[in-house]
Amino acid sequence: MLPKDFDTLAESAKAHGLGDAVRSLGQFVRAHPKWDQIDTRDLQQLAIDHYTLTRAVVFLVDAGVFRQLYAVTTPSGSLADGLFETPRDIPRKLPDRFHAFYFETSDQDIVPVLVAGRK
Amino acid sequence: LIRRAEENGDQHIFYFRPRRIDEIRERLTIESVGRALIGGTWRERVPSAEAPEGDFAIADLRELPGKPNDWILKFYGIFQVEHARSERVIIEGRPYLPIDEVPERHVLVVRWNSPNLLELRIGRDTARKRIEDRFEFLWTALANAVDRTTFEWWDLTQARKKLIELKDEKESKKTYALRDTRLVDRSSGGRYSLEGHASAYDTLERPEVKRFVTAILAAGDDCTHLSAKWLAADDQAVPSRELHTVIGGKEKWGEIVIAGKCEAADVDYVTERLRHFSRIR
Repeated sequence: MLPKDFDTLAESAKAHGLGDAVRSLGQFVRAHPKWDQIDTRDLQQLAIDHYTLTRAVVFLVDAGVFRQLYAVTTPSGSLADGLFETPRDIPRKLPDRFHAFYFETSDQDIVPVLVAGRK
Repeated sequence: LIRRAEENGDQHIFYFRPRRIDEIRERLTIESVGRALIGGTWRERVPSAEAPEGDFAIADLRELPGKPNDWILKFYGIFQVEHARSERVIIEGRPYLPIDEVPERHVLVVRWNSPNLLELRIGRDTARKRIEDRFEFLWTALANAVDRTTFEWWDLTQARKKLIELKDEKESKKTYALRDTRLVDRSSGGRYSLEGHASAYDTLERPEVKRFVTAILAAGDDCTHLSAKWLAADDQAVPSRELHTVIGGKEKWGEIVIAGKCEAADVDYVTERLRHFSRIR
């Protein structure tokens, strides 16, 4: 499960001008209690400019709240099962969601995802 | 330890049922299968660690502890697999991707799960063609002991349907969670795939989605694929961990995929659960 206490972090993020962004990220996480990973593309729906959003995510990764890994989209657009430390760890082929076929990962998007960090 | 690692999980399992078990029960004892496939001295000839190159050979045939009527038959084979390197090399000014030929050991398993299931287990592979070739190989290799025409696919349609229908029951929520679903509209030939969030396993939680899926099934159409996560619990030893499975396959109604290695008891647990949901009317 992803962490839930973002209010304390939002206070300390204020000094970096990231208090509101961290709070918004916290609301997003709380709105999806069953997720144990966040597809960073989904964060674009937050009303935060991309620069601030990126800084807020980096702040939370540095604070150990999140860990950033990589996933690959399937040809249908969902994320394939499997998370990788770096893009270089991604195998050449992965199965689609139904294990009906394997696709070339080089033809697909690599997506940064956030999972629970050390804290 | 080796048996556990290579026989269970990370594989496709193709399930078959005898058309008339009474007529072939005697041929499905381990003695009968051993004599037919290996010879009269079969107990002296297995297990064997030998794995031929470019072919499969019988490596083991044995009973299962606590299940006197069950048996496992195992094949080993070594095959050269081509792996293209990601770094290009330049030869006479032209770029090439070097290919390494790497020997890979493959394991095929046949499990008689009494009283009425024959399981063909084939390791996951990036090429569906290779899986189907191995599937055909297994039936050919079994021919002296088991007549393919006396078996039929175990149709898991009912199991998938009941897994969907009963997913919100209290007991179900402790046992499994569903994620992706694929439906076939028999009247139009249309296919509908629902793929949930990678980690949420709650695609059917939204009432609108569940209503759509149940309406399609009630109309007589089929769910051909269903991904189910079988949940581990602190107060029970099996399953030993969360098991991710896809129930269904390419035009193969009795196929499942178990993603990731697991224990023998875990695979049997999934099979028993499928038996249970298949029986519910």
